[in-house]
Amino acid sequence: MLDRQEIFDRLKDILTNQFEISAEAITLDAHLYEALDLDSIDAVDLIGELQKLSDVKIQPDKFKAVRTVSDVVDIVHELIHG
Amino acid sequence: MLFGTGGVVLSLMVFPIIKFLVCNLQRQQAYIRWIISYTFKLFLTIMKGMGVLTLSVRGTEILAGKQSVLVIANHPTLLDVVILIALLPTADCIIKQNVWRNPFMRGAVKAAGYISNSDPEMLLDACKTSLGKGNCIIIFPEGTRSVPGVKRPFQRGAANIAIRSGVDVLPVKIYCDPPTLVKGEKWYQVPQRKVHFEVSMGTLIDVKTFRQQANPSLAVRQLTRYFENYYY
Repeated sequence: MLDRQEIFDRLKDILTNQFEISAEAITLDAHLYEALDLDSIDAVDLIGELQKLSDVKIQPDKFKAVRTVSDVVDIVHELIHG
Repeated sequence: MLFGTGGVVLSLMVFPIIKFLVCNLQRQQAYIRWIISYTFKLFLTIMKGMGVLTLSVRGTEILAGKQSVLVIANHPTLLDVVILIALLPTADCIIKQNVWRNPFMRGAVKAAGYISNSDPEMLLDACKTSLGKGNCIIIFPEGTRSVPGVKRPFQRGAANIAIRSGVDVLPVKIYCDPPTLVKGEKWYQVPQRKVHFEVSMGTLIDVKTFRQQANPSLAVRQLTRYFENYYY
């Protein structure tokens, strides 16, 4: 089972490799849409990638409230650990 | 003003007749697009006749017999969309929110069944559907009017549409000299001398090579960069 740090590392990998975001910009409090320049279409892709990682279904609605990298880590963590 | 009045006259008088005569919504919209296109053509002819502008267009033959093409263009002036719609009578357009709220233009864009950009996911689906029907779509990837001399990163919307629908992209370059109706200028601030427009259609960009990327988000970013290099 992945802990928070591992989830963050995986998320960082996804963001750098698939969304061309520079690794230095990815911090826990970085804002996805402002600082990291993601858009809502990217968010849908990101949900897909995260599902592969956690093997659980992420409700797009749940993702709507997400603002920062740490919000994403929280959601994935919650889903994995129930 | 000519525009607003034209929009209202068409919405109040011409479009209702078409809606009355033609039952099929798709055919209705097709007729209305033709009318808008020919109105714009007429407008440009009048402007040329009055000596306000000259217009030269190159490369239109590239679109002959082609369907489902995403047409992208830089956006130096307010007249770009008029010129492009005049050239592409059946094309679909993506129209920004405040036009849908503008009482003078709302009727016309609605009757023509153009696409609204309010919600990005709905926009993407609407574009896929429209391209699937064989329509061409006109979009300005900069997202707003160009500012002369300023290189601004493009929005990823255009590339998103192309990658996720898998259609060819036709880049169109529009030159306007002297700059007129640029962002921040009012429509009545017209230049002293005659305005020359040059519209040149490029060659089709096959997005297949971009789509071979491992994932669409990466492909979209690469294609957006390709667009930026093409225009800047």
